Amino acid sequence: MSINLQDLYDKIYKYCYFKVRNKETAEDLTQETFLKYFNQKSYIDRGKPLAYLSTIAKNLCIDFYRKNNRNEYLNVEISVNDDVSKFESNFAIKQAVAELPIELQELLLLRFANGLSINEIANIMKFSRFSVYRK
Amino acid sequence: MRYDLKKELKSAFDVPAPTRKEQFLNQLDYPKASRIDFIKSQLGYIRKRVWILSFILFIGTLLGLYFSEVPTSFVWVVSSVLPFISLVSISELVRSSTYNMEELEMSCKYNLLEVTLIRLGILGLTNLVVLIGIMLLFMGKTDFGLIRLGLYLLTPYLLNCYGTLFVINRLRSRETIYICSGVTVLVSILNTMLRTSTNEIYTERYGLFWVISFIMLAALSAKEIVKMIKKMGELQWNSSLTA
Repeated sequence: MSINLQDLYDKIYKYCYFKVRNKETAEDLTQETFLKYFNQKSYIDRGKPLAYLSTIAKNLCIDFYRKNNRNEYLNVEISVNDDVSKFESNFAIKQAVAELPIELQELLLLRFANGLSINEIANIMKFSRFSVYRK
Repeated sequence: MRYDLKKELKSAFDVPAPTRKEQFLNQLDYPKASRIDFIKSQLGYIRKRVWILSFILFIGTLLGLYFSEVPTSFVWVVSSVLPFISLVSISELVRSSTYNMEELEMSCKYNLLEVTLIRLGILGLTNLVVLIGIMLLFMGKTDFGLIRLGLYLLTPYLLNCYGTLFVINRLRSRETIYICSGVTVLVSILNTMLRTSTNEIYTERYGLFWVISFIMLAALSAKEIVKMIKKMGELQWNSSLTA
């Protein structure tokens, strides 16, 4: 199996971090996602590991909120960006994204940060393809 | 959507770097590809024309034997075509140098030497199956025994193997395959000329000639294969020094 585990790890961690906004918890959930993924054999050889890992990660994040009975984010950590000028130029975009509904933010992350296809996003988020396009 | 906007959107989701990634991935027990998986994956990389040509030759022999009135004379036709099968197989082995991919393939998980050996094995096995199939077809239609048929069919095949491997081991360029094609055509013409100039070439009178030719060409081909493997080993060593 020749998959780029490092890249997959980063993308799933990014997704989990988006969901829980806590570095430690995001990393725990990412690792649990990978353990669950490699614990079964039915899907591993079918390709598209990122889409499947994202689905597992999403379910684990939902479980996490259920278990902890929380509807809000944990202590929000602000990512430290060393490059001040870059930070400034991205600020407007970040602010615009932050003002979007959480569902749309998730969609943007899956599409543009993690590079998933419309079909895969529709499956993960349980939307129709048309809804994803419209959003 | 504009490319720079896509890029900005990507960076809008920047997160703090994970701290336990390397440790986790090093300890992660994920299923690694087995030898069988590797061999199966190599089957997919062998071009369709190898399978198609082998199939056409087999069906062609079947039809030729069915319609030919003198099956014995059909032996030289098949033995003249067989070198082309070996050429197609050989062309699979020089793909890396033809497309200037050797250096890249040397640095991969499975290096060029392993890949080449596996493909050589698969192709050799395919050729063997086709040859045995053809020999069995001939045995039912001619008076030749299995050994004699093997000698008649395999000697031109081995001559071509030796000739093309000789070229591959001494010339490494994009044009190698054209020279190999020339060698194959030459072998095929030589085989036809031998048959037309010497009518009794498939009789017991020339038995010794066939046996000696077969043994010599088999030994020379084996020597060239060993040389090719050694050369790849050296190339791998050189690549590791420059990595």
